[in-house]
Amino acid sequence: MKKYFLLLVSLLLLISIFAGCSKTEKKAAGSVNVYTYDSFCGSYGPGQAIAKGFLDKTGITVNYIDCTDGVQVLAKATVDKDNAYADIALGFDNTLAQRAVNSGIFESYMPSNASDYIDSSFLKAIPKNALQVSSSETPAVSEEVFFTPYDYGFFTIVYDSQSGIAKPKSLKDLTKDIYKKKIILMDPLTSTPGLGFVTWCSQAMETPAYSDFFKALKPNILTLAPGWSSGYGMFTKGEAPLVISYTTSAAYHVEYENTDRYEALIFNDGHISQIEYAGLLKNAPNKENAKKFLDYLISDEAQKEIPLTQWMYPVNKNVSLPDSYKKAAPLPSKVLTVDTVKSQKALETFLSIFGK
Amino acid sequence: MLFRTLFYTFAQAFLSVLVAVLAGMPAAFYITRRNFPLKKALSCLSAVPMCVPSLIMALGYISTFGISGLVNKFLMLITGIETPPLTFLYSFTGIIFCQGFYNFPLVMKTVSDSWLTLDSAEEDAARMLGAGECRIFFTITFTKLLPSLISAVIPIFLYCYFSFTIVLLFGATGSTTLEVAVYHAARSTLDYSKAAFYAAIETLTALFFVFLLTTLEKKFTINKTSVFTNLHQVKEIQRSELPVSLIFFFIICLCLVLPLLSIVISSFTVNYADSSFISVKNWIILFEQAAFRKALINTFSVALATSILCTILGTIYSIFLKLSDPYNHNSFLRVIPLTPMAVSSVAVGFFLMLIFRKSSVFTLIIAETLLTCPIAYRQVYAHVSKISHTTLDAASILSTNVFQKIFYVILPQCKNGILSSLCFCFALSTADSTLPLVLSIPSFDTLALYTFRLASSYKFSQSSCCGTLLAVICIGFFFLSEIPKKNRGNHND
Repeated sequence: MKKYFLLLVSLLLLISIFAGCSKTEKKAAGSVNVYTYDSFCGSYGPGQAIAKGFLDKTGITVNYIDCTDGVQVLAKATVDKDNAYADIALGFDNTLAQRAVNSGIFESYMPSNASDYIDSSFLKAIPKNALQVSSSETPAVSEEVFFTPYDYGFFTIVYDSQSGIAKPKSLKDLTKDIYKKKIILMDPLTSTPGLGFVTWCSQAMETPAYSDFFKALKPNILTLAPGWSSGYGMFTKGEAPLVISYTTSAAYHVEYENTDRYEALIFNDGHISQIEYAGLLKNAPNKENAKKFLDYLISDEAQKEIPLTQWMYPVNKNVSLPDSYKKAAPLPSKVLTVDTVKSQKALETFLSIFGK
Repeated sequence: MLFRTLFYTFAQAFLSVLVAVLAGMPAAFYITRRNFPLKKALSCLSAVPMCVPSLIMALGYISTFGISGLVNKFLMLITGIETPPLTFLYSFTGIIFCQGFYNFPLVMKTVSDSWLTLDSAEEDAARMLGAGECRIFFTITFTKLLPSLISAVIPIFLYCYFSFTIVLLFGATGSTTLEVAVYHAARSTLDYSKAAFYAAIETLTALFFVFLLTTLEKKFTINKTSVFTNLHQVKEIQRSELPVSLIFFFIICLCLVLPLLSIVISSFTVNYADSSFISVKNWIILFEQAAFRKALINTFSVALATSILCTILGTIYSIFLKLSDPYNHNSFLRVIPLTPMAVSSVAVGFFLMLIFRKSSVFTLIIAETLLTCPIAYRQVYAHVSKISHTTLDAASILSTNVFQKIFYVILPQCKNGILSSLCFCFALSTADSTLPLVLSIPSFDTLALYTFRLASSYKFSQSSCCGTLLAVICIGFFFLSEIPKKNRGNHND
């Protein structure tokens, strides 16, 4: 038994040495540390290709730190503000952007050539410090702008055309009896698309109307899935013909499965957009490298990686979209602006109706 | 609102445990008392709750019992009806059903391990006096098995109490648990004081139940001194038992094996141009990725280090308990190592994020060791507690020091517990995706993490490949851990 014990201890020591060797603190001059979320920095996300391109171009290494989701990116950056490790927080969306401005952890920075690449509507949409808004009405290339948008998408209902059920044409149609237990939503408390659906409904309808809408919708919901992965996974297994997702979702199936079975529906009610941002942190240890990374993030080279890995539209207007997008990722004709106060009230209504 | 959530959380956990016990006890009986084909395979299923991520398992249940699942398709085919007859999955019953069958192998494993070492003298005496098998089981055997049953119930209850994915996925719209409330406060609204309040209520109530169960476990533990142990005889399945046995194995196959199999099938399914076909393409794509190979190596390294550290700590604490409190007087000492199990993983994640701002693999190993230690302790202590006082007294007289007593008497007697602990902790570490996610180690993936990354990138089939691989690795380790037990029936302690 002693022999086994000694063998175990030796093994443990070896592993501890391995663990110690793996503990690499990458704070060298030639690096930039980025807080981001899993689907951006994972092997199927655009992060790895962008990091490689940036390294080839500048010699600077990008270290991604996976914080799970956009909310956690912001949370971790806020927690670390006095002892900053990361240089950039990447991945919070427009619903969180005002909170990000208010946190005071970001330094204003916008790539100098942003207006050459990014449509002015995106630049105008970036939340700004309230005091600075009054001094400038032209945020583009302005120093008061805190965040750099890098991709965007629209929430929508994705439809399974093999279900044999008629496709809905509006949000109100979703309350029809034929869709009983036929819609998969995500829980707005745990999922961004779940919250996106509630926000979408609140912006597309008047305040009292969405309350009745949610009541009528409830019997038609099969489940409120905890996250997009589980909800969309159920949808692809044929559990229900309708699911909340993005207008780009159907393009994935065209690109990799060569099928037009799934369709991203465009409703006359209009759709809300999700714009994702990256921001330079005030106490960034590698500030100059971080600025170079943000410049690179909106360049043609980095942005061309977005459509087929992130499954979002790139903000860079020069990037041509793949054929699958042209075929199956329709852009809504009407884009709704988001009133955060209204959407918060809608969330409370939704939660009370759905018994949460 | 809080009371309702608390009640719902408790109710789903309690009923899930009940299903796990109802399925696990007969399974333990067949493992220890009967010979049948694929016995080892059933035994190795005990790895399932530990190593198959709940998301993948949930998708497995959907493939089997969902509206478009295999069972509904089969029933529609044979009955000719057009609407799926089984819709129970998306209800409270669905939660209980899935969690119960997902976790029953834990009851099977822990109870059968204990059953294998039970002395049959009392049962034999009762049999000779004319008692029926049922009466013998409920009045003698079940009482002896109660401590191990409670020992299995504690982790299952806690897993279900902190359940997240399955409850939200299958529960009626609006159903929510305390863990969801903690998650929402800590991760969505960033209201940390509210999160701390919910996490405190969740932890305190969980600890209360753990304390209650541990007290019960202590109450039913029989410290019996016996020089000779007559092990139970292992028989072939009797003809009279055949119908019940067939029904039981059919239920196990349907409710656990089929969902698992559907995950494997999904990993070999390729969808292209509106049709699905079987192919190894997903596996090839997966193994071609350098990131996946790296994740595989990382998983092995971290799991090995964690399992060794946990087992060493669990063994040391078990021996300390046995020597310092041989008559089980101090319940507090028994509850202490279980505390990490009774804490919300969301809350733990948040505190770890505050403590370890720049995490490394070393940090991950330490964090996983702390959280997995209770399992190691319970696995080893189940064996250490069976060492009789006579044996210990004899060892004290014959040993020159306490280390000699530990190395030559105690450790050899709990060798199987140590091996079992190594396997359980290896499986737990392999399957854990929460800590690697929360600690956010730069450029570091594990298999479990990779499984979720694939699922969040539309790659559900490849995600199933990863889930299958996780299960195969862990089941393989359990199979290895069963080998030393082969000849155990041939000797007396």
